[in-house]
Amino acid sequence: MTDELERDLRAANPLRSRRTDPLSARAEAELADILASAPVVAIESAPRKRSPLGWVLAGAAALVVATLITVSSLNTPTAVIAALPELDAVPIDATLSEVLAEMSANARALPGDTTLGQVIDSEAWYSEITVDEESTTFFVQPQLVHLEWRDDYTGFIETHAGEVRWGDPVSADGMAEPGELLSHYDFDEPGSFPPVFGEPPPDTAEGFREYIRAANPEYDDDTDTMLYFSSLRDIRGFWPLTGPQAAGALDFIATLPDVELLGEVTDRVGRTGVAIVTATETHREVLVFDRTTGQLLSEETLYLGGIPDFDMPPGVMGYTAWEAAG
Amino acid sequence: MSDGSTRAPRRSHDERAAAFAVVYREWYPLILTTCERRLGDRAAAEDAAAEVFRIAWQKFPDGAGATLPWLYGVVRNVVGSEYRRTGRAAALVRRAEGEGLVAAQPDDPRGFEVRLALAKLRPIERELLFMTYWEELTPAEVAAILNLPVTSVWMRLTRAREALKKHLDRTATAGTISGAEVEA
Repeated sequence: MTDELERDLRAANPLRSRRTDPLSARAEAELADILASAPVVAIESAPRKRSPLGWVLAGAAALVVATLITVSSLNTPTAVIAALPELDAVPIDATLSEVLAEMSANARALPGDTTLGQVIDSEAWYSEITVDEESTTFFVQPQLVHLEWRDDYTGFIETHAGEVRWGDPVSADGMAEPGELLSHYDFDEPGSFPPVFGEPPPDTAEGFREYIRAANPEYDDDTDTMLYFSSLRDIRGFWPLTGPQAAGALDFIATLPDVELLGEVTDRVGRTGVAIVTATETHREVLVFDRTTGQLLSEETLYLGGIPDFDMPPGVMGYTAWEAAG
Repeated sequence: MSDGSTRAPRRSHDERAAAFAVVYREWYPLILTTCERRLGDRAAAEDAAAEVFRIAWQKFPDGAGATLPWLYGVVRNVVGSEYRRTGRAAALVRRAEGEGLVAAQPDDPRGFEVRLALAKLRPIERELLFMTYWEELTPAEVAAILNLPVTSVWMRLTRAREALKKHLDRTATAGTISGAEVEA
């Protein structure tokens, strides 16, 4: 559905080029020229290299929650679909500050050795919903992501299809065979693996604030807590936090506004943890921590509704669950 | 979208060329659009887009690694080189990418108002609106290019729209007050 602001924005576009344009005669000629020239890279004899930035697409599915929504028509009325159930929380008889302090103390008592070079295993799921006039299907098939990177910033990331956890795929369309290799990206050249957070995480609240802002220069004191939560999730995507680092992250959360204690939950892979949440008008981000170690176990994002032109029913949009380090 | 996600067998030149042509046809119009937005000139944009794909051909002859985020990164480099070549200062770069577009199509008053309001936004907000509504990128594509979770893109887009609306409302209010003063 297009609103007035969107119509105005599109009408104000002064560009002559459009994404949907067919190729011009000049563009066709350029393509012919390019293909007639010899590429410098002799890939027949060289090991296959992946672009560092090519990793971003894999990372979008692997290290963060990506959401792909296929909606056949934005004018289609919002469909009622089976949604991934929200986490069922049991209230905890303590305040947010008390729980954060307890987990921070537990974490800080754990080992603090940090080395460059990491192995990260996680299960990630993204919402893939098809809505049309005839039918709506919904199922959750997570991806199992194995990331290894070394101190010279080489490594690889490999993704396999997981078991369908929720829903009922009525056909094999869009469903991968569990265990099937979905992607493999190599970063063979030293320096080619590009972690967003390339240095080891700090172990204090202020250190985390500076660490996140260094990677996101546009963040300031007015930045939504939601975005800081997202950054914590992204950091965990690259680093299995040591005890002191996990304590620093928890201490940082204690300084943020708009954070609530949801309660004790069982995350998507069956582990018990403490759920901490923050929300905007449209989304809620949940971080689940191991109460005894302070480690971030998993995260998930819920869409609460309310975004104009986003004709998707409220519900869980995706999650990431990290295996314990080691 | 070609994501190069599977291990490809070795290919002949013709097979690679065919694969590269698919990537070229998929992304060329978008790359041309983003080049035009940044350079403000169609002919210069065509030169820049051609250069982007020449680089892609040298780097990824089978097109497999020429993902949208990678191509977008090359656009930035190529456009930056063009700025340096033509001696534009950094401040003028920003003008060309944002404020410079305000002057376009002066015979369209509403469009002028919208572009003027866009120019008053923070660069990150403006960029997000340009990517979404002028370059017609999907949120998932924007997220991949900016390396953000797609939910963050939605949130930022919502805020950018709100900021733009405020500027437009302010412009409309100012126009009303100004008109009343003239009538008085």
